[in-house]
Amino acid sequence: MFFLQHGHGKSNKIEEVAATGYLGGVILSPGSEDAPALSATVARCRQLGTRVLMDPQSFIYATNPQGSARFHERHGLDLTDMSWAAPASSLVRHLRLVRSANINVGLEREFIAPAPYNANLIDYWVPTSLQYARTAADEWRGTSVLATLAVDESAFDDWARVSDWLDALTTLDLTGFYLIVNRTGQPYPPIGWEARRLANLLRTIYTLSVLNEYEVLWGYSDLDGILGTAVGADGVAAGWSYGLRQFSIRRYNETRAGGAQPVPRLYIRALMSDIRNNEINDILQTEYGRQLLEPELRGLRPDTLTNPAAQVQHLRALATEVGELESLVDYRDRIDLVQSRIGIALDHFSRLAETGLALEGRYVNRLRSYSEAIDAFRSDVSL
Amino acid sequence: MPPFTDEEVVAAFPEFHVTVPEIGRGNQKVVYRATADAEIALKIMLWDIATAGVDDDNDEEVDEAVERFHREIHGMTSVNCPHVIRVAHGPGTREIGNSSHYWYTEPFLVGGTLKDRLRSGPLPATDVERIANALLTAVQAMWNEGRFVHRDIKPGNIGFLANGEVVLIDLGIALFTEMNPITGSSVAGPGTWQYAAPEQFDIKRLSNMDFRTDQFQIGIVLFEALFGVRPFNGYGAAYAANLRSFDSSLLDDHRVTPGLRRLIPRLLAGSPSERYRRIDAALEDLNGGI
Repeated sequence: MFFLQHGHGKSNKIEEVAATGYLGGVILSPGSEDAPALSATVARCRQLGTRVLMDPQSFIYATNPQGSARFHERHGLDLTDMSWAAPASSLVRHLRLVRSANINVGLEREFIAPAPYNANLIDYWVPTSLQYARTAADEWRGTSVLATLAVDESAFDDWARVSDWLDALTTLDLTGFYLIVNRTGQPYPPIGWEARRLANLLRTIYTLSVLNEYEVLWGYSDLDGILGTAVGADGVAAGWSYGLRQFSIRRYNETRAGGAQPVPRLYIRALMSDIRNNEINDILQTEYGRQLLEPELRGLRPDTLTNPAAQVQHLRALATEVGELESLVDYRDRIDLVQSRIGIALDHFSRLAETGLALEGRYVNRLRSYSEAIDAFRSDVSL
Repeated sequence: MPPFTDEEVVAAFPEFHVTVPEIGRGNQKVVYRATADAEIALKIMLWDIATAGVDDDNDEEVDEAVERFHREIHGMTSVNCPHVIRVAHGPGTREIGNSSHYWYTEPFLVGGTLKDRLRSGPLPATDVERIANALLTAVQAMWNEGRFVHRDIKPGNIGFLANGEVVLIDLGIALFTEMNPITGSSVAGPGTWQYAAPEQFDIKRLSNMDFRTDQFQIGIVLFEALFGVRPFNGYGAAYAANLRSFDSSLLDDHRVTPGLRRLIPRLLAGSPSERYRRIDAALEDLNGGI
């Protein structure tokens, strides 16, 4: 299912994506809006029949320097004393605060548990994360609990360590996991993953979801979520702004000083990529390129494209990609399809290059890393 | 030499018809075949209670043996599963000759053990499937009802009762996850290394053994039952490393049913997280048809 990673801002984006029929839910960010605003969003989602979860964003309190979120205090989310050396009473208090923050905005049946950020899988924060998950499962018995796994991407480099971590995670008796992977410092769209790292991440999702039957919700996964869905993720998420389409822990340590207006991009299904508006203009100039665009995009004037319109197009397209992929019940069929589509997209990029078009290299690099990662994943799990 | 004679045992248990001589003896126990309302195995601890566990100067080994005995009994009485051996009579203490001993009985394995059966070669796949169903059910019961891990599932610890039922026996080194460790029982070292799971060879940083360790041992047993040989070769560290990479193409054989073809690679996955988190899922794979 496709989830919207909710930030702040009022518009009808939720309704626009829900209209595709493929919106699985919304993940709220209490750091971005106060309780009345979130309550209003919850009410809108309820009207749409859409699932709503709150990411407690506790991970920002386990970094050095400690991060901050503007509205946490107003939600009563006083988690600043999060520490690997904290007593059990502190951990239980955090869980109660998170539960209260959920209930205050009308969320009473399913919860994302708090957890610290894990910069790696070997330091003292890892057992602390496990303890949060285990205690949440115990304290919140009778409800649906997703444990937070907030992990740096480098943690996936060494499968032996990931495997040890999974051995521990799979002892947890809870509904599933809310996985977010830090990719600090990436532009949008991000550069391609290191293939081995991504393959291990996909194998992690597969191990938790397919083999161990947990619900896995991969937050901030954006286009990577297509691969996540293929290997068994039950939910993947993206938001409207580029900052909500990838998870960066550093975001919570920065003093924002504004910046240039983001360049609008549209998701081109045949290319499995978000193409910049001026590049779409170039593509439209070629016969081959025009054929790659969906019919509704062929009459587009990219120079008039606004960011809100581009954001809605991206989210609707991604929701549809994920929803259609999920219509294949067997994950093996999904992997076959995604791999095939990546190959076709790469071929399109080659053909476009032959016409003399010079598009950003990141598109192809990212698809190549996807392709290599899927090959490695297939080999790892003997598919 | 045991601290009692066969004749003293016969005299100490007048309620049973005890057949002498003994049929087996370990470091801690001696076993007699006997008859009550059915055929039973009478198991008697060799240690004299008078000197076991009451004297500060007593041998630690004796204390540990007594604790193991109590835990084995606890395991047998806390699980109600037709595929985990049950106590038939006792446990209790009995004066035998001039000393006092713990004892209990369990059903006699009229059909012998799987180890006995494998001496005449591999088993038909249908028999292997029956054993798989029984062992998985036993592991599920031990974990769900008793919260313990057998840790020593091997052909010699799998028996056949008079009614043909497959039973798991000898809970002597089981790991009881909700009890304090006794000396040696919480270490990672395996009970029988040829049937141990990879995690029994090393200390895990984040997790302990659980019922998934027993799954790996079942995987080895089932493979051996099908082919007459165990699936992993080597010695020492190389052997332990091999345990993490089972070659599932070894199952590409007409003797292997689709259910076993699905089941065994999952049981023999190198990491517990890649085995079954629910035994019901394993049973579904085993019995799910083509």
